[in-house]
Amino acid sequence: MNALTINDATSRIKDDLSQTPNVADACYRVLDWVCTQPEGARSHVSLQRLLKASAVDDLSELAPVIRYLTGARVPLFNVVYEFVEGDDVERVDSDALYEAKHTGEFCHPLTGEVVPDYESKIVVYFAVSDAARSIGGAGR
Amino acid sequence: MATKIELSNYLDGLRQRQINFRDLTAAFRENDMPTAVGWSKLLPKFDSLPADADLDTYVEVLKSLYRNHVLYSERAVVVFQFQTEELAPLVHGIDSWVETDSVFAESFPFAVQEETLKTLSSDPVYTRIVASKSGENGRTMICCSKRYVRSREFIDYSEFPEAVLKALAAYDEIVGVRSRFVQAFDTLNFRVSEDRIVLTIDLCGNLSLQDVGRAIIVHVDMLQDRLASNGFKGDVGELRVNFFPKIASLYATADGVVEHIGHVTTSGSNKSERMRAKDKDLRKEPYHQEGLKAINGGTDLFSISKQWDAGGYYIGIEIPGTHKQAGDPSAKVQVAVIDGCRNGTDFRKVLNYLVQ
Repeated sequence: MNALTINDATSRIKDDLSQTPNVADACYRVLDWVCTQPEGARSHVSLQRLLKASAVDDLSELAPVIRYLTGARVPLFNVVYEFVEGDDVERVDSDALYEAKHTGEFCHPLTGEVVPDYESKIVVYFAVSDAARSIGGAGR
Repeated sequence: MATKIELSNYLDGLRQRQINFRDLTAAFRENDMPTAVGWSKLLPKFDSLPADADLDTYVEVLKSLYRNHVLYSERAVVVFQFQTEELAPLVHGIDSWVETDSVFAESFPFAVQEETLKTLSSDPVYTRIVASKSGENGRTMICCSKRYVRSREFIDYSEFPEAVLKALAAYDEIVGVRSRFVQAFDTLNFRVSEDRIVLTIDLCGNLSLQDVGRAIIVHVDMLQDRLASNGFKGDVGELRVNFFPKIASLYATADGVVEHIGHVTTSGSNKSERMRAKDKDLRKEPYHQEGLKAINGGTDLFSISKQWDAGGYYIGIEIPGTHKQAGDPSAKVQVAVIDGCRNGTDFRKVLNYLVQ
């Protein structure tokens, strides 16, 4: 994967989001925020943190920002899904969740047994992608 | 030629033992066998195989997975260290310890039904040695036991009557505690060249440390009786290796990844720090590093979980001390948990980290 630089990200946001300036501004703010985070502190970014960083009012305004910043043009973040039951935390890949959405059946990643009400046990957060590693991260 | 019944017995056995489903499907993929995301989708694929299909390879793979799970899956470990050349004369004739006419021997290598287990004695706990085998690390005996386990299960309450739903509305999760009997496959490995006996307790259910302690006592008592009849005069329980000093050395040794530690700081707090992902090292985490720096490294460890990459999966050790042992020069932890091993090579590697 090609490395994403701050200049790439800024110019693509400008080109791609000119019709939606609010989304573009929110993306710039998230980008600025990522630049200020130390490298070791960018692997678990919650929705709440992104709401704050983007300074948007609610999740409906945050959704297009996340879609863009996890997309192919500016892959700033990877989306991470975890299955959390009690103290146990297991990574889940998006294909398994996609299949579960369609079949209505999600299987526990370790036991292989069907999990009732699985959606309440899925946690989503974001991690700065490898492609964006060169962006910020110096602990400024 | 292998049959579908044989295939089904091994699949049922692996499911009952709650084999890690990722390990199972990884092995199936390596051997071009059917895979799926869960048991409910996997079993129909095997059911639909033609009756005359050549199942030999499939059964060989399943047999190996089952055997490795029985011997090396998540285990609590106790090591008894004897004096130099003390063990050799004590193990004379131990093959006679195997009882071929027990309830467990009849169904071995599979577990007996829970209904049968219920009928077996709980006091003393029904325990029988069912098999003995020589390998590169000496003789290993499989010791089956009736074990009482309690498991926490999450309850789907969405279809409960409305009044119940209302009463439970304030809770995010409803948990039930289920008590049941399971058949444990513990092992006793007699390493004469090292003057050690390694006891492993099969964590086939969610055992608490107290449950593990009870299971260990059953074997210690049995060993005491049997070794005494071969001339042993000492107390087997006193020979248990103390793993507590290993906590600090495992943390200090740069290899592997530290997933969890428990420690008590000089600033007066009990800390339990755990990485969410098994492949990330707590020792490199900024919050952990800066915290230690702020107190000049002044902390006493009392528990640790450490993992090593075994080639795409992780094998590891947990030493489960308690916070009241932190900083106590005479603290003892005589049981450790070895987890993630897929075979004997993995298990021996992790065991070496504990005893060397």
